[in-house]
Amino acid sequence: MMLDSETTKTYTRPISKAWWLRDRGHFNRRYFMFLLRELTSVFVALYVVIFTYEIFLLTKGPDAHAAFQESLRSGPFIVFFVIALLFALYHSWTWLGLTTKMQAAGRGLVKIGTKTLPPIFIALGSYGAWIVATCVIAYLFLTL
Amino acid sequence: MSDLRTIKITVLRYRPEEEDEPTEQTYEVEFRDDWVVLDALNHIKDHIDGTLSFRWSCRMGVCGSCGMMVNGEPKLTCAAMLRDYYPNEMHVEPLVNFPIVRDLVTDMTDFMDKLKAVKPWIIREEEKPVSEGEYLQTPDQLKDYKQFSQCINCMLCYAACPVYGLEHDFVGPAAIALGHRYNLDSRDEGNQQRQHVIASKEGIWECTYVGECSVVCPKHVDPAEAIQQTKVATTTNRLKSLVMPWGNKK
Amino acid sequence: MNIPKHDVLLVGGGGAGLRAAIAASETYRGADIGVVSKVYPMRSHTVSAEGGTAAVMREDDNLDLHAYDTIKGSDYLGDQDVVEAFVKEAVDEVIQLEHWGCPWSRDEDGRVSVRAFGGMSVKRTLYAADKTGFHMLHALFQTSLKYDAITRYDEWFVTSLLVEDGRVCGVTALNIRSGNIHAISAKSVIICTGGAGKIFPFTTNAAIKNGDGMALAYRIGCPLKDLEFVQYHPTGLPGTGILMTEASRGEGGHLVNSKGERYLSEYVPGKMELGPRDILSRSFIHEQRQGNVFEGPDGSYVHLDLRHLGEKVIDEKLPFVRELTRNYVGIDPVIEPIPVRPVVHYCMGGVHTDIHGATPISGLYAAGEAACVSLNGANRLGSNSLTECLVFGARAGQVAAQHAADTDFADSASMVKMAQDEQKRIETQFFGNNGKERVANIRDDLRQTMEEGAGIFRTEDALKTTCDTIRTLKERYENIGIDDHSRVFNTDLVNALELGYMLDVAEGLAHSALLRRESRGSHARSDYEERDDENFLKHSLAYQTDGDPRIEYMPVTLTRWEPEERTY
Repeated sequence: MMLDSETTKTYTRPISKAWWLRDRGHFNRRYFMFLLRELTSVFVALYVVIFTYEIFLLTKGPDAHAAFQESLRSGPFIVFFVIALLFALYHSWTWLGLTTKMQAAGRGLVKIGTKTLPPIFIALGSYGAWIVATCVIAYLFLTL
Repeated sequence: MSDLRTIKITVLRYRPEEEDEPTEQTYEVEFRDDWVVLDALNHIKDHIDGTLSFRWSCRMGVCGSCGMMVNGEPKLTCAAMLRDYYPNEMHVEPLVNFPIVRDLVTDMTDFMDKLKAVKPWIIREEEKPVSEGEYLQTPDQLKDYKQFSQCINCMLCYAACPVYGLEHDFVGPAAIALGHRYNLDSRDEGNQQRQHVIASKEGIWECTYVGECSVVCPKHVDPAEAIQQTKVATTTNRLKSLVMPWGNKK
Repeated sequence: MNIPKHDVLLVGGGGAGLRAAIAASETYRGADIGVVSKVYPMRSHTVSAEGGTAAVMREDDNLDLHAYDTIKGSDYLGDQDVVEAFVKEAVDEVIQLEHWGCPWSRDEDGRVSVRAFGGMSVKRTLYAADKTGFHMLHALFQTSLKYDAITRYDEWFVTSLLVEDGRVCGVTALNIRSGNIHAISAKSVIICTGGAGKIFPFTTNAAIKNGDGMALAYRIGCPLKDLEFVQYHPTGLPGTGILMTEASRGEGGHLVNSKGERYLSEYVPGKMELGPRDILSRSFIHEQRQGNVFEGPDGSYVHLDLRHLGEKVIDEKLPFVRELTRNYVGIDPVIEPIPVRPVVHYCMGGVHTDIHGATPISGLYAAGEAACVSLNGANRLGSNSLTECLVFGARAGQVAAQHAADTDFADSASMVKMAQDEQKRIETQFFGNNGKERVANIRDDLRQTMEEGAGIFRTEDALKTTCDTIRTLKERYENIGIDDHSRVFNTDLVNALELGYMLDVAEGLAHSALLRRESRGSHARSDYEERDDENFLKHSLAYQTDGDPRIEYMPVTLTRWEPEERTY
């Protein structure tokens, strides 16, 4: 408990809207990459909207769907899909990288006997599972 | 003798009795190869301008007093070598995300309250009398929490955390890491008592994993790791109690 | 007007202060405890202690052996009843700290580990890697948070002890943040402000260690005991004085001179690197005189060689040493030896107390480095001081709380007046006169004269010069001017007040050293090289007067150990 007396005037610095770009004149790459990761969700969401719309069009008959598919082959859409793909990869990669945090240092949530499973195994497991899942889905889409 | 080398240091000043907003002041001080940034500040205080206020004590990176923003990065000024910035002009500011009391001195009462809120002490249902000796704890059990016990409360992680800057209710990296440290201690039984603070909206779930706290931590505590571990553990426990409500262990 | 009141008030929130606060609040229910600290308690200098905490923990050890080691280490100036109480209570105290969460390093079987330390016959030093003080302090501080009876005054700086009818009844303190001076009323006041290493130029001590509490007691007529005994730690980094823990030798590190010899075989053949600190520090000077040392920009040095320990042992047992040498001198001890030289480390002397931590003045207690309970005598053994903070912190907390239970508060109206007078005194002295003397200049001159006169080797002439210089410095201090005349967080003012404390302690120290015409423990007189039990097997007591301090003496308590020649 602290004596709550005699607080003096303090100054609280405002946080700039562009804090993730510049911090007092110095560019912080990690803040920027963090915000970029947050931004990936926008692209993923847009992709989901397009994807849902496509599925909706399937109910309208093959012609409507084919016409829309054709329009997706235009330049702007392709650029969008490339960006969305890169963002999705970036997000997945960094998110799965986080899984090592549950193992790092001495303490780990996954133990074999009294020994902590080294974080690299968790990372390899996560990335591996991710790649396998991607392949399975791709296989299903491309063959069915 | 060669000419005296100097370095320019611009310091953010705030004198609440005289001004409503901080101002900048530039000092030119002798540059010495073996000086840390704090040495230069002390040189200013002792020989140029005694009105410059800042906290410091041990000058060996363990008391946690002298954290400041050096060129925009939170640093212990007693562990930041001046030569790493020479010959460019440097900027020294009080740690961001905290109110400034005066010059380079910030108000850290918010952290002191949060530290107490996570109950950073051993909690047991039954205390073992001292006469019965120590609790046994193997080196492996010690290793479980040791890293998180290295926190020197220097506040660099709070200055690095944009979430704390935007959302002051956030319990924050150091306090969560210290609560986690006790949760992981084999002698402790207080996990449940800390959950409502740590596993709350203002606790771990406020964290969006910027990860900067762990980058700036001078003692490699890795608070981000503490937060992620707690997220996983809390989620698994909740799932477990959903699936197996009867297996509700402590 | 209301002023804060506490049954027991701690001045200082380091290891001893926090232990005392907890002990006081556990002594009787309802006891109201205050802790005034000029820094947030977890910043206190206990945080910098590295090597460990001594207590008898193992089958190959016993209390008498720990007592004997301590007494021999003290060069027979330790009070033997105090030492016996200390070794006995040390055991429970370190276990108590274990129960409070201190992360002691452990053996495979789960017991706390022990390591070898200088002057200790067997391994009895508990440790938390090489950050023992840091972990102890944080464990104590974090534990103290659960006691609602403890009220903290963080960043408040005590400027005087209040005395009424011969008893201490509170303090005046500067709230550093607001700049206001307040009276705090207390039935018992315990001084736990640490040592005064900063009166020397080259020290392991933090900036905050200026002998504040010693001077506070000295100014109200309480004697300072055995002040002349100042410990040089043999292994500090040249230039900065950063401590290279004794544990680095305890774990097997070697001290090597410029000829590549483990030169300690000349001085302490039986103990080598595990000899006591006073002898090791003097050995360095002898080697220096023979030209067997390295020369560098920050003075001469020898090598502390840890390379043969290997990376694994260094990382496990001495990680902080590696971190410090890498950061501050760019040396990795795994591949290079570390340059080291003796550095001022610890004050054996301090506020005179009895075995319970009570001073001769009613209501005033002291513990830790600020106190001289006469455990360490003329030379402290490494790893006894952290334990001392626990044992005598607890003792002082208990007796202070008992005293408080039997006492009433003094009249608060008169205390308000005293606080107003104190504010006026400080404003007049530091803001009122446009003095020309800078704090830093007087401080530098003080440090220089202390090193010249009261360093590792001392002589009559040099000490006299130092005493004279201190008198001149005190006169210059009267003419001090500070740059900062504002109120909020005025560290310029705090530094000026601290300088006043430093001058008082330095004065007592130099005069005590001048009159001790013998060599004992850390006090080595080139003009009186032998220990003189006939005339000086006694404690010095320095009293402040209007002129030079008055030095009196009191006998050493001997119980079972007769003074013998001290060889290792």
